[in-house]
Parts: sequence; structure tokens; C-alpha cells
Amino acid sequence: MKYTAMLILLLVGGLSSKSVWAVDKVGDESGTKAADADCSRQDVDTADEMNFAEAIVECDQGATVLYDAESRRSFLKRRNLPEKVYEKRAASLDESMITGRKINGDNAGEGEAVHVPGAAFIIRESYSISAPDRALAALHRQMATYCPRGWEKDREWSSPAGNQYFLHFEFTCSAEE
Amino acid sequence: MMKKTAMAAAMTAVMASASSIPMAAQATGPIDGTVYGKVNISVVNNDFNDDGLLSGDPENNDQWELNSNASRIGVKGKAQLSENLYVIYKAEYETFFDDGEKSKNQTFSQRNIIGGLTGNWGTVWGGKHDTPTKLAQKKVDLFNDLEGDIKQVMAGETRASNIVNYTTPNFNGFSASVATIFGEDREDNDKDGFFDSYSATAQYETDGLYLAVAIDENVKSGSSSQGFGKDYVDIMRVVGQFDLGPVTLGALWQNAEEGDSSTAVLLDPTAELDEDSFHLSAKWKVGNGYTLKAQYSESEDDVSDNEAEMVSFGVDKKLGKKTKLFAFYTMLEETEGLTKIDVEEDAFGVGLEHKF
Repeated sequence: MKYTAMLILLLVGGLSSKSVWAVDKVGDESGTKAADADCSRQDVDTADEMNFAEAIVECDQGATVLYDAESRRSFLKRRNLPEKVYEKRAASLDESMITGRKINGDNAGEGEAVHVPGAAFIIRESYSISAPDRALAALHRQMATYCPRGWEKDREWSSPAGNQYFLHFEFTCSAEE
Repeated sequence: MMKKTAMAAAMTAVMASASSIPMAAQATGPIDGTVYGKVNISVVNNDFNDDGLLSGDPENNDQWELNSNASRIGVKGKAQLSENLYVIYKAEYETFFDDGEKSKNQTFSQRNIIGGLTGNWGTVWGGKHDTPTKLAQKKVDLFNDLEGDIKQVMAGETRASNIVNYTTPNFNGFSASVATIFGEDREDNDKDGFFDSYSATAQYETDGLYLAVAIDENVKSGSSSQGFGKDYVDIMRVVGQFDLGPVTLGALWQNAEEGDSSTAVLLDPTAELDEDSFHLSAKWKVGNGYTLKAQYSESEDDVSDNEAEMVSFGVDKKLGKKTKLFAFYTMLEETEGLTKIDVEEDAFGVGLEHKF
């Protein structure tokens, strides 16, 4: 047990030093760990070291992504991945062009409004910088359709679309009260 | 009881989180993984100067061998679960380029096999794996997996089954690992708790400098100590390595004592182990792809007076980024404390290593 006490002292001393990881790397916009591993080394060598996990994450090519990177929801908090409504609508429009079936306006493909607590959606509307209000109104109509008993907006972002922008809302239907 | 309850609660929380992954998230996709490994074969002359004590033939003590020096193949990979959370895996197997099998019908032998999670909070994995104390030696053993491997003279070179490890993130070059080794296969039920056997290391690495301190507490050693053989031991190990231009120097010191579950102590409660070991190594990149290597290891149990000395010299010639030829000479001398019988083993050989 004397060895254990010595190691604990070393651990406390080491961990009390400034953590580069905590300060500089958590906010990494790329969403990946900053490089600590020497990726020029051979896999068989890095696999035989204590910090082999760093090499797996930082040096191996690509990863099977089992989450929706766009939603940015934390792993432990998410209950459902958000449904990208605009993608579903685009698919419906394509189908209607093939079959000739008529699609009715903004609510196309949405069906009867049903409130599912915890269900999450991503919607979008195009807008111009000079008149964003129209997009806001249309987005709120959609949110009221998908979550008639209320919602919580999780995130809002814009992305360019030609001369205009798409305004995205990610939101979750509120719990039953 | 509290420990077990807390663990059960933690496991339940983890399972609940995992089960909340939506079906849509469990996407099908390409199997992500990297196949890696190495071929390391050598032709070796082994000479036992033991008057027939081990070889059984005092007149004919040497033999030629083709050796597969821990040649291996493995696959490792990851899948991204969220912005800062990955599931990782590694499954590595020894394969035998000399006679094709470890024992009858065993083509592959398990080496390091783990599954775990990693994020900016650190890494947790479980499986069968080298202990943190073994990995703390890093590359100070320049003749690893050959006849001059330090496992020939000292305890602590252990690959443990049923091991669960946590490794911290890298803090300015500093990191630490703590691993518990469950005693589920052990006969004494007193030592099958959550933390009755563990291995830990704290290490610091920066350009050209590596320092590590490691301990084993009641861990069954994968290599023999001079007093107890492969028994449960407590170990304190200190390792240092630094570069001086083309020269790399390494040193290791360790002390091993009897562990709580030691079979020798169970048989004789007065039995003790006090093995002091040290190891020095140096390699020099002389140019044109040549590297000269030398190392010396010594280990002695102060209780039984058993001791071992080992010295190795070698040269590597790089043929490419992944390939090298090597030649070496190793002399191992072991002295039995009670009888003072010396057993000496000389080995020299040439070999080829290719990593893929």
C-alpha cells in the first residue's frame, strides 16, 4: 500500500497542473480531439502503448458516425435524433413530380398535427437578409403544426443558399403537463 | 456493500444512456477499422551452458531455432457516437511464423483485446490487456520479444485478463492510468472485490524525454520474479528515457514484493519476496539506416539470493520505413541462491521485421 500512497501523491501533483485539454481543446470546432498522438508512427507501435486510444481516434482514417453531427445534441441528453422535415418534404416533392400527385403548400407531407412529447425536428425556410420576418412566421407555423402543445427551441442557425439564406430551427415538442 | 451498490447504480446509468440511442442513430455503414501487425522472425543459435541441467545433454547444449518473436495481426477502430464521444476497439492476436501454432490447433493466441469509450474526459476500456505497469516501460527494452527481453529477469511484464482501465486525457504531456483486475478466476474468495488487484501508472512525455512511475498491487505477474516465479506481487517501477541527439538512453528500476494472494505465502506464511531489478539501455543511430543497441539488466531477490544478469548487444539496419534487418547477441546468467548453481544461456541470431 505504500506504493499506492506515493502514486496518489504524484497523480495529485500532476493533475493540479494546467490542463491544456480542458482549456484549449474542448471547444474545438471540428468536433474532434486535437492531435496529441504522433500519427507518423506505425500502427503496431502505437497499439502497444498506454495512450493507444489517442492514436485510434486521431490517426485512423475516418469513423463510422453513429450520430447526427448537425444536431449537436449531447450524447447523454438526446432522446431522439431530430427529423429533418425539409429533407422529407423535398423527397415528397420529387415523388409528386413523378406521380403527378398534388402537394398542398407548406404543410405538405405533414399529415394531421399530432403532439409527440420529446419528438425533435429540424425545419428551415429561405429568407433574404433584408426581410427575415417572413421566414420567422413560416417557421413558427411549422413548429405549431409539429408540436401543437408547445415546444422548446434547441438551436437556430443560418446557411447560405444562392443569393439568400436558409434559417434553420431545431426544436423539441414539450412534455405533457 | 456500498461499493457494489454504487457500481451497480453507475452501470445501470450507463446502460440506460446506451439504450436511449435512437434506432436511427444505430446506422449501418462501413465497418471502420485498421488492420495492422508485424512479422518478426529470426534464426537463432541458443547455447545452454548448464552442464546438461536444463538441456539434458551436457555434450550437446546448443541448437538452431527459427523464432516468431511475437509476430502479430490486429484490427483496431472507432465509431463516433457524438461530438466528443467515441467507441473504440482493438483485437490483436499473436500468430506463429515458425511452426504455425502456439499449441496444438491454436493458430492464434490472444494478445491485447479491448473495447471501450473515449472522449475529452479520458478513456475507459475493458478486456485482456497489458497492465499499465508493463506499458510504462515504453521502449527502454530494446530487445523486446527477443531472447534479451527484460521479462527473462524481472517480474511485472504482465498481460492481465478481466482488466478495466481508465486513462486520463493528456495534460501538458502528463497522463495517468488506473486499472483494476478482477479476481474472478482466483481461488481465494477474499480477493475478488472491485479493487483487490490493480495496476496504475503516471507518466510524463515531452520532446525527447519520458518519465513514468507505476505500481502493481497484488497482480499476478506474467514474468517470473527471482524469488517467487509467476506469483501475485506488489511492484513499484520507475522508468526514464531521454534523447541526446542520435543517442537514446533508457533506465528502469523496480522493486517487487509478495502480494496478498501470493501462492508462496499461502503455502508458507513466512515466505517473503524482495526483488530489486534495474535495467539500462542505449541506442545510437549511426547513419545509413544503422542503429547500434546495447542493454544490461540485473535482478536479485534479497530473501532467496536468487539473481539474474542479462546483457545484450545488437544492430538494426533499416531497409525501409516499415522494414528492418537485425542481428543480436544476448547472454543470460542465472544463479540459484541456495545451491549457488549458475546457469548461463548465450543466444545470437539474425532476423527480419516488417510492420504493416
